[in-house]
Amino acid sequence: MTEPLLSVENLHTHFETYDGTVHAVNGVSFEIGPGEIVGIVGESGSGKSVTALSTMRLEDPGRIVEGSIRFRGTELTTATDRDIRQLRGGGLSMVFQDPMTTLNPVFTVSEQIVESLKVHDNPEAQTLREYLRIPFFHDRTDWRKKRERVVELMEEVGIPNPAERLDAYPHEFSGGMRQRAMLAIALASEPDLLIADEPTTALDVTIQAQILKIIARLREERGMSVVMITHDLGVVADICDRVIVMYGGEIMEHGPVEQIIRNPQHPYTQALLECMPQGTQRKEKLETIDGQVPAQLGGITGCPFASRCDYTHDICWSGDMPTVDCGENHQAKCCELQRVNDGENATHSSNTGGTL
Amino acid sequence: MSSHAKHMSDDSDETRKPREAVIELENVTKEFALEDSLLDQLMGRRTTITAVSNVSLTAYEGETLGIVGESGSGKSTLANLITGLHTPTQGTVRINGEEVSSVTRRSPELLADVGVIFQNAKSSIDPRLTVRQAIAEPLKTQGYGRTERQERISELLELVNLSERYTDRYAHELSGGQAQRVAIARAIATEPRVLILDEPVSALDVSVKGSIINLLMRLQREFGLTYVLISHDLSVVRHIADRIAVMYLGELMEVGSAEPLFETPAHPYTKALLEAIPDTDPTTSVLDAFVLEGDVPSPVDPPSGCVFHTRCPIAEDRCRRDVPPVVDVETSASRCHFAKRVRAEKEEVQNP
Amino acid sequence: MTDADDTTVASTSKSTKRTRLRSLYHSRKARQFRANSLNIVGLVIVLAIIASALFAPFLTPYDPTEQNLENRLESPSLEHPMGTDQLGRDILTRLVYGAQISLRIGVIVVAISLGIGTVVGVTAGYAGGYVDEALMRFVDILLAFPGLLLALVIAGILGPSLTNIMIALAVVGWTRYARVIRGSVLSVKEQEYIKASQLMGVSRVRIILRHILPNVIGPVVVLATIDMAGVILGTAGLSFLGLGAQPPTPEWGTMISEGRNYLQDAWWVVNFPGMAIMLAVLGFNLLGDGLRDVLDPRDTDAVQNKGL
Repeated sequence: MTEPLLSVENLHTHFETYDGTVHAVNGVSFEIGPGEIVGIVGESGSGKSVTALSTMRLEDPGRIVEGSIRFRGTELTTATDRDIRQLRGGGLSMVFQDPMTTLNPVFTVSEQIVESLKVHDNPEAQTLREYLRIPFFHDRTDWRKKRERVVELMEEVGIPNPAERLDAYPHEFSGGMRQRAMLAIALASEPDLLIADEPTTALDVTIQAQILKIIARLREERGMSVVMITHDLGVVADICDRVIVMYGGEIMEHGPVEQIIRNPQHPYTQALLECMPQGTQRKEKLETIDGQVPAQLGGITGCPFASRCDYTHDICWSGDMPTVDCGENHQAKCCELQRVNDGENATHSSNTGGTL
Repeated sequence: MSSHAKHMSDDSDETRKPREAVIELENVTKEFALEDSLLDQLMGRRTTITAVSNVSLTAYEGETLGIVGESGSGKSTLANLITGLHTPTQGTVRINGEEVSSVTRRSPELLADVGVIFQNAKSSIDPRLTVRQAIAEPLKTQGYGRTERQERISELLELVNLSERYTDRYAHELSGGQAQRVAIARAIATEPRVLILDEPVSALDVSVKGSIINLLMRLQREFGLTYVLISHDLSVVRHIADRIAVMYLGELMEVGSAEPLFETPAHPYTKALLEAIPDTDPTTSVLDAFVLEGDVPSPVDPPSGCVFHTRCPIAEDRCRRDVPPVVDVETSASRCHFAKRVRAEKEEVQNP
Repeated sequence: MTDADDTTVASTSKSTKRTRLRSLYHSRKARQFRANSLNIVGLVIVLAIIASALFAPFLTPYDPTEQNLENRLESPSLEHPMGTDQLGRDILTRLVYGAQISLRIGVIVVAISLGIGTVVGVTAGYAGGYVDEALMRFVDILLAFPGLLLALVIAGILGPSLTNIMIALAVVGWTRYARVIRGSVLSVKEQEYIKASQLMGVSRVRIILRHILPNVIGPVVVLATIDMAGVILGTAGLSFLGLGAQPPTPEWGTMISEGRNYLQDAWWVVNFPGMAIMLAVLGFNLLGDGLRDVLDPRDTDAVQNKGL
C-alpha cells in the first residue's frame, strides 16, 4: 500500500439509548489502498455495519466521539455537510443489504441512476427546475445523453436488455436485479471506494455469485476499491484481498485473506472458522462458541471476547489488549497470542460441550 | 407430466431401507390466482401461477428430508401444503398414511404430530407472551392441566438448554438463538413425529447456528423425529439431511441421498447450485466457477419443455420441446434428459 | 382466559408489588415517556382534571347550582378565584363539577364506541370477504357524514339531554375505532405467530382474544385517549347549542352558552370554561401522543433495533 485511499484511525462511534451509551465501534483503525477489496467480517453486534456507516458519515443516530476518517486526504469527521455530500457524489459510494428499501418505489430505476449521475456531474446544481422537468424549460438533450449513460451502466452491472428496462420501477425488478440497480447507482458517481454492506445476504447463492463476479470485475476494470461487509467467511475467502475480523466493536484480527483463513491467529477467528459446517463431518456435532455477544453498554473493559474465549486468563479482563504483529501485514489483538499458538491449556471441552 | 413425476420419490434408499412413510405428497399441485382486473374476471380470464407443480415426495420415519432451491422455487409453499396452511389444488397430502386437509379441519392429534419452526423465531412468538406462556400455548390446546403444564415446560426448557430464568421474558428480550430455542421447545411440546423446519438457522449468526443445528440433531436422535428441512443454505442441508429434494420453479429437479447428491449431482441445476456456494477453501472461488445466468423465470409464464432450459448450460433443442423424464441414476432420481451424462462428468472430475 | 397461572409465580405480597411499581417506574418505557416533557404536561393536566372531578365536593365550599343573586358577576377575588356568573354561582365550583360531567360523558362515550368498534373491526378484519365488505361499506356511509353534524341531527331528533348526547356521539364515534382495529387485525393476522398458533391448533376464539386483540389494542388506546378530547369538545359544542346539558347543569359548554351575553362586562364567565375545555383537549392529546410512543410492544429504542 503506497498511499491509502481511506484511512480510519481510532474510530469510536457511540449510540445513546435509554439504557445508556452503547459503544458500537471502539477504537477501530484500518487503511484501504487503491484497487483493494477488503472484507470486514463479524457477527451481528460486532460493529461492522456501524464502522461502514461512520465511514460514509451516515452514523446518525450514533455519534463519532473520537478518531479520524480520512478519504483521499480529506478529514471526514470534521467535514461540513456540503463537503461530505460532494464526496458521496464523487468518490465514495455505498450499497446496502436490502435494495427494496433503498430504492425509491415511486421513481423508475433509470431515473434514480440519472439522479446519481447528476449529483456526480454537478453536485451544486440540484435545482428544483431540474426535477420538475417542465417542457421547454428542461434540457432534453442532456436528458437523452444521460439515458444513454444509464443504459451503459445497467449493462455494466449485468442487467439484461437495459434499453427495455429504462422505464421499469423497482418493484418490477427481482431481488438480484435490484441489487444490480443499486450497484449501477453507486457506480454512476464513479467511486474510488465502494462500501458494500452485506450486498448479497438477502440473495440466493446463484445470484450472490453473479453479484460477486460483477464486483470483482468492476474492481479489475475501474481500479475501484471495495469494502465488503459480510458475516460470511466464504464470501470473504472468495473475493477479498484482505480481511478485518471484528468483534464487540473492535478489530480482532486483520491480515491477508489467505493467511487468516489458513492460519488464523486470534482465538475468535479460529473459533469462527471452526463453526463453519464445512469443517465438520456430516451429522457430527458442529463447533460452537458458547455465550453471547457482550452488550456494549458503557463499553467493555479488557478483551470483548474474554467471556467466550477458550484461552481466557486474568489479564484478559482488564486493560487494553495489545495488537501483535504476526506476519506480513497481519495483526491480531490478543494478549495471550503466544499461548493460543502453542495450544496450551485450552479448555477446549467447554467449546464443544456446553451449549448443545 | 404426471406419469413420470410419480416416481420422483422412489429413490433407491427406499428399497434398501423399508421405512414407514410419515409424510407423503402425491402429485401435489398448488396454484395461486393472481388478482386480475375486474374486466378480466368478467371475461372469465384468470391468471394463475403454479407455485408447486405435480410434486410427489415422501419423508420417511426418522430421516431428515432437505428441500433446497432458490427463492420462488416453491419450497415454502410445499411446507405450507404439509402443515395445511395451504390446500393443494390437485393431488393429496398424507400424514401417517391418512389424507389431510387444511389446518382448521385437522384433529388435535394430527396437529400435535406436526411441529413447525419458522425462520425468524422472534416473529413466530406472540410479542405479548412470555416464554412460559408461549410454550404453554400448544399444551393448552392439547388439554394439559396446570401442574402438568408447569412440569412439561420445565422439562422442555431443559431439553432445549434454556435456563429457567428466561421464562418470564418476552421474545424481543431474547437473543436470536434463545428465541429459536423457545420456538423449538414449543414445537416439540406436544411430542410430534414430524418437525417442519423452515429456514431454521438462516437468520442466526455463525456461532449460534451451530448450536441450534446440534440441538436439532440431538432431538432427532432422542425422539426419532422426522425432519423436513427447508433451506437455501446448502452447507446446513448438507450437514444434517439424509435425503435432498432440489426444487426449481415449482418442480422437483432431483431427489436423492444427500451425500451422493452433493458429490455427484445428476442435474445441471443441482450442480450449478452447489458450485455457487462460497467456501473458505482459498484454492477455489465462486469467481472462477460456472455461474447461472439471469434470474428464475416468472412462474406466470414458465418455460416450455424443461423449466430449467433458459438457464441451463447444456440445454439443447430437445430441452425446450420435451419435458424431461425422471431418470433413475442409482442414488438419486433426476429430471433431466442428460442426467447420466451430468453425473458421469462430475465423477470423472473427481476420479480422473 | 386464565393465564395468570403462567404469568405469575404466585407471589402478590405487598413488597413485590412495590418493587414491581418501582421497576415499572425505571423501565425503559417509563423513562422514554418521561424523556419528553410534553408527555408529562399531558399526564399532569389529565390527572388534575380527574382529581378535581373525583374530589369536587372537597375542593370548594360552594354548591355548583346554588344561586346567590347578590353576588352576580363578581370579578375574580380571593373568595371567588374565578369570579361568579350571572346568577352569582362560583365559577370555579362549576368548572370543577363540570369536569365530572365531561369526564363521565367522555369515558362512557369512548367505552361504547370502543366496544362497538372493536367488535365490528375484529369481525371484519378476521372474517374478511363479504362480511368485511359489508361492515366496512356501512362504516364508510357513516363516515361520509361530517361527524359533529350527524351527532347534531341525532341529538336534535332525540331531544336535548346528556344521555342523548352520549348516544349521538357514540353513534358517530365508533366507526373510527372499527377502521383502526380492522386495519391492525388485517396486519396482525398475517404475522407468523398467528400462523404458528393456528398450526398448534389454538381455537379461533382464543386466537382472536389472546393473540390478536392484545396486539391491536395499542393504537386503539392512543386513539381512545385522543378521542376523549374530541368527545369533551363535542359535548361542550352540542351543549353550547342547547342540545346537551340543560341549565343549571354545570356543563362547560352550557356555561359558555349562558355566559356569552355578559362577555363585554364579565370576561371571566366565558373565558374560564373556555380555558377548561382547551386544557382538557390539550391534556388528552398530549397524553395520547405520549402513549403512542410507549405502547408499541417492540422496543423501538432497544439497542438491538438500532441497526448495529
